[in-house]
Amino acid sequence: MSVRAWPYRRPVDRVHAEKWQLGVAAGEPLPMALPDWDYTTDIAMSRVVQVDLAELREDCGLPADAGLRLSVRYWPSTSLIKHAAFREILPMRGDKVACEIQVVAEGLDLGGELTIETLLELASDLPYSDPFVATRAGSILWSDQARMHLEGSAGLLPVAPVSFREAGLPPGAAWYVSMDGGDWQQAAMGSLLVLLNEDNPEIRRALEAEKKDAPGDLWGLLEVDIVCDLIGRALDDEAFLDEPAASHEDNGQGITMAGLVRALIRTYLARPGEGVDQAIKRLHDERRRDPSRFRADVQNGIGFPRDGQK
Amino acid sequence: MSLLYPRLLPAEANRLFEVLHQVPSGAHENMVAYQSTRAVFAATGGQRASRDDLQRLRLSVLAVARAQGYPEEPTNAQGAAFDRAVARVLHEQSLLIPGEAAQRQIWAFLALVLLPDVCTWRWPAKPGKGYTGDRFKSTDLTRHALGRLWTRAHVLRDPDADDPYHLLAVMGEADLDQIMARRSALAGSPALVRSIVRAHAEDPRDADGVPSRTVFRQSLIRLLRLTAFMDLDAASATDLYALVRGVRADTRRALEH
Repeated sequence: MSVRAWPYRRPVDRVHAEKWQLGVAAGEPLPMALPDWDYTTDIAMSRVVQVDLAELREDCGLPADAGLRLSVRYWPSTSLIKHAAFREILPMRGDKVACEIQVVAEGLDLGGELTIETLLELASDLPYSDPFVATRAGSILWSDQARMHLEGSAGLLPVAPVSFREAGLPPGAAWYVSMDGGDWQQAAMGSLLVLLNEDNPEIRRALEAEKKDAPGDLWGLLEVDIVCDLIGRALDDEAFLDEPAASHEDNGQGITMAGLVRALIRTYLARPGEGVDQAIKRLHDERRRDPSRFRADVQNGIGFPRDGQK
Repeated sequence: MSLLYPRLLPAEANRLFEVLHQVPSGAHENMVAYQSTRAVFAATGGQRASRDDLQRLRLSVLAVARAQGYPEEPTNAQGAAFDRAVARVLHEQSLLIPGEAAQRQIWAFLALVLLPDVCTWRWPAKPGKGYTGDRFKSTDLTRHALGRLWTRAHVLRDPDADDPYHLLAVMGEADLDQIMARRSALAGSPALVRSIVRAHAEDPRDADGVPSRTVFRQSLIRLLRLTAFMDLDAASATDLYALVRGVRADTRRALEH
C-alpha cells in the first residue's frame, strides 16, 4: 500500500463534510451508479461542508489570516480531463464556517466512472515562515473523493441495440455478449459490449418501455446470463487463473476485465469469509463438476428473480 | 449538435487489423467503408453520424494527407504537418463530444474502417514488425493515429485567441508526448497544458548552451512534483501561467549554473 507523505502539516478532523446529494436541494444520496445516464444528462450535486477555521489554521501552522479556499473538481475515468466546478474563498474571521456546495457536471464531458473531488486548500501564496508549513497557493490541506458509475466499467456494461439480422447474428436471439477474449488486463469498458436484438419484438418492447414498466424478469435474466458468461469464460481460461492477484487492479484506464470478473465473484458468489482467490478455485472445480449448480449459484447470488420481478 | 460515431467491436478491430497486413501497401483504399455490421452506436445521447457525415470527415482528412504528399511516404515534417492540420479538422468538423471522443472503439472505427488508407500512410508498417496496434485499434488513446490528435486539439484549444488552435504548432511530437502521456497528472488539466506550451513558446533560447527542450523536460519534472500536493485546477489562468513561468525560470537558472 502506498502512503503519500505531505510536505507540510495538515489538519486532523477539522473538516466535516456531509455526503453528496443528487440534485441541488435535499436530494437523495449520491448513488453508486446512474443507470439512466447518457451524454444529454447533466448531473447536479450538492453537499454541505463545515470547517473549523481557527483550529485548522492552528493544526497546519498557518497564520490566523491565511486565506483558505474550498473547491470542487470532477473528471470521468474515460478522458481523465478535470473540470473545476466550484470555488469559494472562506471567510478570514470566525471560528467555524458552513459552506453549501452546488455543482453541475456537464453530461457532454462525462463517461465511464465519474469522480468528484472536494478540496480545501491555501487560497494565496504565503511567505516562508517555518518548515513543514504550506506556503504555495493551491496546496491541498484536506480532500475527499466520491465516485459514481455512469457507464461502461465495473458493474455496468455498455449496452447497444442493434439489428441482429444486419449484424449477422442469430436473428431471433434476444442478446449477445460481445467479449474481446484473451487479454484479461484490458480495460473492461473497451472489451465488453452487450448487444440487444432490435429485431426481437420482446426486446424492442422492453427497450421502449418506461422505466416503471420495464420487464424486470427479462433484464434479470440478462444479468444472470452476463455474469455466468463472463465468469464462466474466465474460469475456463488458464490465462485468467494464472494471473497474479496484483495485476487485477485498475490499470489507469478503468477496471480491467480480470478486475471486473473478480468484482462480480466478490459481489455475487463469494461465501462469507471467503477470499476471492479461494472462491475462484472453488467455483472452477464446481463448474467443471456441475455447470447447472454454478448457474444456480449465480441466480442465488444475484437474487433472481428479484422482488417486483414478474 | 453532437454526433454519435460507430463503435467497432473489439473482435472486429482485431480482425481488420490483421487484414491491414494482408493488403499490399498502397492498396488500403480498397478497405474503406462508411459502415460496418460489426459496429454499434451508443443507445442514446446524440444523433448518429450519417454516411454523409462520415464521408465529409473522410474527404477533409484525405485532403490534408494529399497536401502532405499522400500517397508518397511522408517525411517527418510532412507527418507532423498532417498531425497538426488533422487535429484541427477532427476537433472542428467531427462534432464529437468529449465523452464520445474518450471511447476507444470509435477511433478504431475511424482508423480501420473509414480511413485505413490514410492511417497506414501516416503510420506505415515497420520492417519485420508490421503495423503498430496502438495506432489503429486504439488500445492506448494517447497513441492512436487519430484519437491522440483530437485530444491534443481539445486540450490545447485556446478559445480567447484569434486562432484557437495556434498552440498546436508550438511543440513537436516528442515534446508534446511528454505532456499528453501523463494523462492524469498533466494532460487531464487543459489549462495547465496550455500554460506549459505557452511558456515553452515564449522561452525558445538555445544560444546560451541549455537547449530549450532540456529546460522544458526538467521543468515538467518539477511541475509533476507540485501536482502531487497542489490543486492547479482551481487556479485562475493568470495565476497558473505565472506559476508555470516561474517553475520554468527556476529550472533554467538551475541548469545554467
